[in-house]
Amino acid sequence: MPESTTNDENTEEQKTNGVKEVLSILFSSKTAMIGLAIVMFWVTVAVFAPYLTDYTPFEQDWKAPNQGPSAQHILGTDELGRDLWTRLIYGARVVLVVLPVTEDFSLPGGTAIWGVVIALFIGATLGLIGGYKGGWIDEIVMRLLDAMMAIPVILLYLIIVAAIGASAVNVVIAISIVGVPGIARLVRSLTLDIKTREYIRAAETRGESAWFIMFVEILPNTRGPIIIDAMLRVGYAIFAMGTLGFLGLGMPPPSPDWGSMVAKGRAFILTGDPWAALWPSIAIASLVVGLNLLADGIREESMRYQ
Amino acid sequence: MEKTSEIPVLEVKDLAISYQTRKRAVPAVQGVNFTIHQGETIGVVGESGCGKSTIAFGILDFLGSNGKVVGGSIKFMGKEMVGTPKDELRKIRGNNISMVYQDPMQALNPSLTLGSQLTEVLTAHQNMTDKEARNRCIAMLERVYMPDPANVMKRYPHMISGGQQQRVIIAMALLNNPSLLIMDEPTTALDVTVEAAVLDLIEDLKKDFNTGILFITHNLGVVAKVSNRLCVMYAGEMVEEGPIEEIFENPAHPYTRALLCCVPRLGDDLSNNRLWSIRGRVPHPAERSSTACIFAPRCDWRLEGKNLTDKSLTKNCTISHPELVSISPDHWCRCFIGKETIKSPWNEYAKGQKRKLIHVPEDDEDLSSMETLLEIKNMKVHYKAGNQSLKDALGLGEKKYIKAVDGISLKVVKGSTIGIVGESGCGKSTLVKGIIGLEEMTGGKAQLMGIDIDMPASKRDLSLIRELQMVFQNPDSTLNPSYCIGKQIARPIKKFKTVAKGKEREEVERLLHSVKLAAYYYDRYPRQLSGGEKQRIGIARALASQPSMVICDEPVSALDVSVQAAVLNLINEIKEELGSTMIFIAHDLSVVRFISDFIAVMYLGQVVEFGPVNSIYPPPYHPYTEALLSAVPIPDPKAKRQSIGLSGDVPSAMNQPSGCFFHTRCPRKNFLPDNGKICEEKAPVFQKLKNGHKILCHIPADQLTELALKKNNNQMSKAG
Repeated sequence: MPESTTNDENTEEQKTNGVKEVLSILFSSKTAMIGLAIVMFWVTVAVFAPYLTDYTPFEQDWKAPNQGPSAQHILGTDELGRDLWTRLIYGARVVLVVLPVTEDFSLPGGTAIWGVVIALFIGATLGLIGGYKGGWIDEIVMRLLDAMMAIPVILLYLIIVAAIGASAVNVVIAISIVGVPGIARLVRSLTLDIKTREYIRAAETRGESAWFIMFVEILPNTRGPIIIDAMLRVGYAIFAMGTLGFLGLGMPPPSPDWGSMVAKGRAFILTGDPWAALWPSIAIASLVVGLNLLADGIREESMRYQ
Repeated sequence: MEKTSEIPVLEVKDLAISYQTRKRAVPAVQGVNFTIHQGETIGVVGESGCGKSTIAFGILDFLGSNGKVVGGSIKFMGKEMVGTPKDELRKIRGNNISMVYQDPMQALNPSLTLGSQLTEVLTAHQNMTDKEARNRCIAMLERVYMPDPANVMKRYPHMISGGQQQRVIIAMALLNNPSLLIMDEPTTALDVTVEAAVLDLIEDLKKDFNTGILFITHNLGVVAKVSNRLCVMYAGEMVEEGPIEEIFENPAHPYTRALLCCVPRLGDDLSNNRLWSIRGRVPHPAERSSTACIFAPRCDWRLEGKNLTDKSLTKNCTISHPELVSISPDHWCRCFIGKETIKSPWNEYAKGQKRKLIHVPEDDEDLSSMETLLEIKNMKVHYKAGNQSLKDALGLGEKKYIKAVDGISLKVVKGSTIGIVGESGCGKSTLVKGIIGLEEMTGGKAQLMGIDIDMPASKRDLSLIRELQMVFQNPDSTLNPSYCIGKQIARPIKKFKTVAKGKEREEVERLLHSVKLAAYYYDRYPRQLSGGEKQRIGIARALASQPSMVICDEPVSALDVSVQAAVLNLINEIKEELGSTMIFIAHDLSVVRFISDFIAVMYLGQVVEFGPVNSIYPPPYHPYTEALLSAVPIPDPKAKRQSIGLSGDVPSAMNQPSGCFFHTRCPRKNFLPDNGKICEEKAPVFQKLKNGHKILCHIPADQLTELALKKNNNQMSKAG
């Protein structure tokens, strides 16, 4: 009786294939590589910020306010004579690497990252429940989220931060609340598709609970689109932080916040000292563009040969 | 078919096509040679991934951005197509080559009327006026036996049935009188009775239009019916080519032989319980060797010697690549031993244990003497329909129900397999979903081992859930892509605690072994497996809870024939070993016959005929069963059977016909007095015959037998 036999030898090889495939997608897309380079630049300077500068972000040099790039201050100084490079990379730290909860205590993972992760958590749960359960639960959840989406994003940020006060933790809360509806919609639509698959039927005929099916059977299969969406969302969150900072609703001064740096520096652009406003603007723009390039590159490349 | 001396319609020589992927160029098709003369039909067969469709796309230059013809020539009416600029190709294609695709629903634009889609062909290519074009189209629709063509022109694609859609596509393809018609699996998406009608139509049109046809299919029965010549593809290479009768009689290539052997047939001996299957799987394009025969790793002639007198003949198989050689004039084969293989008969059966048919005592009308495991009585599954208008939303409108399952009573004997057949939409899937608890029953009773199971699965006891498990249809969605195989099989083991804690892995490996897969599959992911392997894992998962009953919902219909054979063998083996009871759904009557002890034929939510397998296939038949049986394409070009055409469409399950549900299409009702008036007025009751065989029909069983025999005799005399 001829039976199906498969070659044994390549089991090991196939295990590592997953990682290899991701890397090969990354390396074969120029867009993704450029994005990755920009993002990695900011992550690196943020992580190693204390070792990359001789100053602290609060140190004021009264003798040298509003200077252009020089040997002492490679990017120049602001109106109080603080080193712009130092403030810039410490600003990146707040965005990407640490979340200052109180003055003495901070959590690893930047403000923008925390905001998106919390939004993912809540949004994915709501999307899964809406998509899998359907019916009136779905109606109620999605209509409430639709109502939230109807409010312009900037306005929503302003309302939330104005209501709960400006601090790093509150910015995280604002970012997550604003992110929830979009993520819930995405996860819901993915769930609607996945729940028609036969392995979900198999789980149902096995008598699995709804929670098991939602979080163990469905959620892992939504990860591809979610990861790409999350990257884009971190970009939006950085943008939102910049906006809030600019409007004076970000980190309380004197912490190095890109948005408030732009706001402060803005007054001196016309007097011939654009540096204080220029660098943080470039920082925000490049990081957002970098994340977008990375996400787009991965998405395009992973779609191309299917 | 006599050859004409004029220029052939299509001449393909040494065609080679490759696709560019991220890493390298992958050859998809190599060494394809064939010629189509006017009025001739060439069938291209092979399993999926063998490059059949790629040939069609190559001829049409529809290869996409990463595909390219890298060698050989395609001559259309003597003119070389390879290398011709795109603009010129477009003109040639539009006027002279037409294509019919697999899925008619996707080939028609849902937002345009059929009329505007049809007339566009003529106004765009032949500068006809709208009125002329319209008349031509109506005439053409009449040619393809479309009822009420003028009215059809005004309709949208979703308003006509699948079979009618395919007729419209064929009419569209023939409108500008093409010299070449390419049909890519034109009947695969259709039900057997519709398929039979479309094939009859193609036969008819061939005679009238004198068009050359390239007919691509995976179904040997279909190809035997319509083709003059056959071209067998394996792994992107043409392995055999010749006149159809010659190949079916003297297949030379071991692959062709295996393909012919591995399909169950209606005429097979019922006591045979193993099918021939081909070991291994079609190699991925990147793994295809250019210095050896591609089929060598799967070839039984090379590996087992078979009837070879001189075993040394196979020494070349692994060291050099075979070329096409002539076996007899006009019959080509890519094999070193092709001249040897044809010396032995091809139709051999795989050896297996004898199949034990369950015997029902002659006078047992209701299987009451047998031990039943599952019994359902008058089961109904109705869905609420509509809810689209405001009236419905307010609950004012008349409540409409889709009666997917409408009063089915069935007994499943312990240790037996019951096969459920019927065309799509007859409610066979809904029936088993009701049994397993994925759909809620809206009426009737169901009992498994004496315990009520008329609630959905979420409300059932775990000990009850454990006894009923299911194998699903689609290999690509039956497994969760996020987890390795082992974990997915281990889950039911852990959930139902079938083995002691800590022994789960052993149990998974035992189950893997029982579905003929090695233990290292534990760590593999679904995307690394072939369709057949995934289906085996699906079976292992269903067996993991040690259920007393397994429901298989079309487990082999998405698989290639050779893989299908292996999976069917496996199911038979498991049945023998574990004595499990099964419900097996399929739309293929030969498959159901091969696997089942009892058969239930369903039509429009009802069982119209039920009985043990050896009473269903000989007459008397229910008229619907008879039509189904006559429509099954037989893989033998000499079998010239006329299928019983069923008129009209399957009625909607929302508005069932009065009386007998089948009376609107029944070809036999006029044998009753008053032209079957009783069929329209009164619902029939089961006529109980010998061995538990029952037929839901007004016509007496004796008369049904007589009619069926008379028809057979007529065909015999016609054929003779």
